[in-house]
Amino acid sequence: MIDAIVTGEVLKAITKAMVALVSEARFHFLENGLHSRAVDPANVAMVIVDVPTDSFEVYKVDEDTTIGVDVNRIYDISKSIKSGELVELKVEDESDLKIKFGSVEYSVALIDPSAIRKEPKVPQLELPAKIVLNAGEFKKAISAADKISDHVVFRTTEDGFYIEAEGDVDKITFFMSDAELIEFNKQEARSMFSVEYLKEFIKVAGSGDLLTIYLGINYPVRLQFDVANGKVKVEYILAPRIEAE
Amino acid sequence: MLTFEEFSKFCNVIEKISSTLELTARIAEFIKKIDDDKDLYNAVLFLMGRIYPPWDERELGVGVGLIYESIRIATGLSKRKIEDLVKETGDLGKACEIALKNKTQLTLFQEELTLQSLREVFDAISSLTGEGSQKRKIRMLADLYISASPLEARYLTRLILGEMRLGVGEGIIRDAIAKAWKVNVDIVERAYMITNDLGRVAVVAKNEGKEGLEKIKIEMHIPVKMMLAQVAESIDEAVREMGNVAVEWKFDGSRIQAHWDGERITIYSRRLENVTKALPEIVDEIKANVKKGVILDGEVIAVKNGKPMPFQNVLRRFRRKYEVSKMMEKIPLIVYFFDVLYYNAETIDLPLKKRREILLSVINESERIKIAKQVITNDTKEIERVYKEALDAGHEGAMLKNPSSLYIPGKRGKNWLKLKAVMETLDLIVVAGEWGEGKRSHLISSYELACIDPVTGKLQTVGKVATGFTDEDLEELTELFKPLIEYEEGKKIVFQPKYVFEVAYQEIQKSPKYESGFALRFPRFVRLRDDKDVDEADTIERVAKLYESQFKR
Repeated sequence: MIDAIVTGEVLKAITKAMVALVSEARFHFLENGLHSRAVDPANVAMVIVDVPTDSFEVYKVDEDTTIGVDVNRIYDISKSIKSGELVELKVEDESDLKIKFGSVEYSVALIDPSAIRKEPKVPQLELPAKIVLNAGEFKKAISAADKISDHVVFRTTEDGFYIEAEGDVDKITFFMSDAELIEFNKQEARSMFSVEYLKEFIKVAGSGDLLTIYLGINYPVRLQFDVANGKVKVEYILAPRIEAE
Repeated sequence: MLTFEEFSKFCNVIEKISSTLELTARIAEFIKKIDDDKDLYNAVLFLMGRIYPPWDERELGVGVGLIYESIRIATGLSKRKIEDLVKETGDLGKACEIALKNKTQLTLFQEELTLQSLREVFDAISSLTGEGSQKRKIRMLADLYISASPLEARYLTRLILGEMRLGVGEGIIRDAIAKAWKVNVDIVERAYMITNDLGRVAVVAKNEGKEGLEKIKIEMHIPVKMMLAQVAESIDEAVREMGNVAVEWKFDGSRIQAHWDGERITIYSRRLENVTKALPEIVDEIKANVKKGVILDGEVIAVKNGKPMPFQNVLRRFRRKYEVSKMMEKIPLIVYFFDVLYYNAETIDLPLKKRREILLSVINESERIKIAKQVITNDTKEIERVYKEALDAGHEGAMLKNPSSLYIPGKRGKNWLKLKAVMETLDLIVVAGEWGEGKRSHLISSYELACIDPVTGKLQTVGKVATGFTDEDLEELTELFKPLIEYEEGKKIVFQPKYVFEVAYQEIQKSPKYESGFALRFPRFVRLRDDKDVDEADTIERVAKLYESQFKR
């Protein structure tokens, strides 16, 4: 039995974060809040969503409960809810999720959690560089890179953080100096990533949101977004691409 | 535990070896070193491109399309690109290997593939049915390809398609088992004919040696290879050889083996496929009219208004999975039993005379269940009479059997002879085809055929057949072959080899045009031999022999 009330923007952030990688996911309603994670079909990226109990207006869960949801479906519904509007999420039996806002109540059929692809453990990664910046800046860089290439290099030197993309003829460099970054530990790192994935990830963030990046050398990257006014933590882990020749 | 990487590396080594002796020695050495029984079982089957023994009802149900889709998910390559790779290499296995090699995107997780973990996934895939099962199969296959190295992907793909391209046939595996555990080949062969599972034979050979293999007995619901017949040179010759001859009709139907234990009946086709579900009326009548605890050998024929229908109809019934009852009315079946392999214990080591007595004692003839008539005689005129009688009744000819002979599973020997009127045809494997033109452009209108090298299992083309088909044949065959398409190039289509055609021809010629070095002149389609497996098709030796015999006339 689950009964929770959140704002529209929280529900939208949760589902938007998931649909970047999967169409179905397991939602765990735990004592300390909502947790969900999933890996895309090609095992290239992982999404981890955490919403602490504080972020809910009401959070009543009898015992730890796992439900399987069609995240596309719920994301679609969440688009019609206003940011500040309150939404009630209710699971009484295992068969459906009730989503109630204003005078509307949706009843969405749940999926047997065991039919959803197994969730892997979160990998333990040693990543030397830590960069904190405004997610809006990052969004701009990725959108620009997308226009000329399917891959980008993330690079840190003592001076700051670089995002570089090279097309057939064009080249773009995005640079933020140590002073411009909110936080930077001045460690050097460099890895290359697929723009296809990054493009999906940035959709979740607004221009005022905070993004923390953990970067290594030819190693996966962790991108932690604090979205919906800090109420939802969304983390993406993305495997690198091999640099050709 | 044996990893799939080790297995694939071994395959890669032996793929380049063409000497049969060396292949056998290498395989013997490889399997001898495998400690774990499960690993040994899997390795033996996988080397032959088999996941289950042929009689096992389970099958992956994974066609070429699902592999394309899984590779697309695992590598991000488009279907077009993968198809291009297949055309370039002519081999889906190699194409998958290249696709994985070119992958620039790393993944977060990879699991080490072992023979046992693959077996688990295969079992899961083969148990999926119904709605959504295709999607889940793709998902599971994609996970395998994500974890596979390029070399592993080559053999994984080939294993799924049942075509390892290693030149390793049953013969080589049998010899390798004999060599690995120093057992006489005949003992291994016998164990194989009874179990039809070389994996199991290898495990017994490893753990219990010669004694263990000799102890293997026929078991209920595990099919035994059927005893086969040679072509009789003449009636006189048969009488000279055998003295008294047991003469039976040779029915124009399809061979079956029925296992009946009092509770359950299993019926196997000549290819040892389980066809029980397709024959409900036969099952019912066996239950009512046959004593329990028997394994019977017989021939199913289709009969309408007292006359036999062409043999194709029986196969149509065998293939039918849905709406069986509708087909039961259209194509009514009768079984003629002529031998018994088991009655509470093995009976194959009894002479035919004795087995015949048992056969008569266990069956109550009914409307659909008959015992094949048998005459024992040394009179050539009497034999001739039975033969004519069978032909007049619309059947193929007569069987001449030695009454004192044992039932030797899988054996095509001198103790069973078939007397047939029809000219020699060839049973050849369909390996490629071509789309038709004009109003036949949606149909596959010509088929390229190959014979088999029985030792290496390699297929060698001998010609194309484009005549002898009715429009109905073409429609039906097109449906049958569509799921087997590996790739297309213009109008040409390459198939996964699975079906055998019986073809007639005017003459065999020498020709550099085909891989076998022979070509058929005016080949004509006779029928689909759905009862024959690829490895039962005619061999390159037989083609060569028929070619030679043309000059003797």
